[in-house]
Amino acid sequence: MQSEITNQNGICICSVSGDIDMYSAPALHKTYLDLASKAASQSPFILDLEKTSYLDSSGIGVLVQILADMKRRQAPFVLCNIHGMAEKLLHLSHMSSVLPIEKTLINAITRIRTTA
Amino acid sequence: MNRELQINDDHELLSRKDLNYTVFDSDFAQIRYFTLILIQRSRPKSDERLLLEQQVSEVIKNAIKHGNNCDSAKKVRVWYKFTATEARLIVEDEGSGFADIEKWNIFNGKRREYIDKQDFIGLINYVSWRTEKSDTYDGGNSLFAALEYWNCGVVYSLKRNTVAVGKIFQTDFMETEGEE
Repeated sequence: MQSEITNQNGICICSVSGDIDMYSAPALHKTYLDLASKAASQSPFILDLEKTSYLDSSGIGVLVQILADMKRRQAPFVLCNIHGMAEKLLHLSHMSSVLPIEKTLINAITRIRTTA
Repeated sequence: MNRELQINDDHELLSRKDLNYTVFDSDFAQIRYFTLILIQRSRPKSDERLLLEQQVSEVIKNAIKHGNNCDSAKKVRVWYKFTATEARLIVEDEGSGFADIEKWNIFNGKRREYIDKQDFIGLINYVSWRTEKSDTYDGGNSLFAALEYWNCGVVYSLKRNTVAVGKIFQTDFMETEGEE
């Protein structure tokens, strides 16, 4: 798994490539914690999973931890481009009802802009 | 579909009859490799195959990590069968068993109440099942999806160190090259 970080007008976008599973989930969590430690407390964060085709319960666990931390910091957080098996798993576990998800990166940015 | 984890030694899902058998070491690093060995002869459509792989790997992971505590001296015994219409898996570890099945069912029952009410604010408090043994990267939610995915049920033995799962595929889900 690899993460590419970009900043678009104050929104931190983390684009993940590869599986988010029991082996890579700790690395994704560390990436988030490193970003969060450097960012202003209410900086918006988007996690783009366009290049992720596999997610497991450890991956969902990290998504939930990010959600909880962003809520604690009252900062906007959106997931986008979830597809295929990852989308099916989030639906099966009903996590797609809890996590803030948009279909595309543009929609995610718009959601953050309109709720800011 | 049964919405609870069951405990029943006599359940048909715990029957080993006509299933393939193998044994794995408790090697956390090899869980996905072990999983691919089990499902190698099934060829479902790509997304469905990944979902099958994920669901099987969660059962193997629970046995290795939570059952055997990744103790290399302990084994995981697996009985399995994957066909065009059915998936069967029984996994036995050498641990003391899943003691909190009843507590988990109560937790999941509350979680389902929020889902049925479409109360997703309340649901946030029930997204992860955690115990004293849970570490940072335990999702705590693999069994929620398992109950939905394994449509024949999720059944534990009375000793609670063996779990059986089964699924009947609803559609033309798999191509199969043949059983081992």
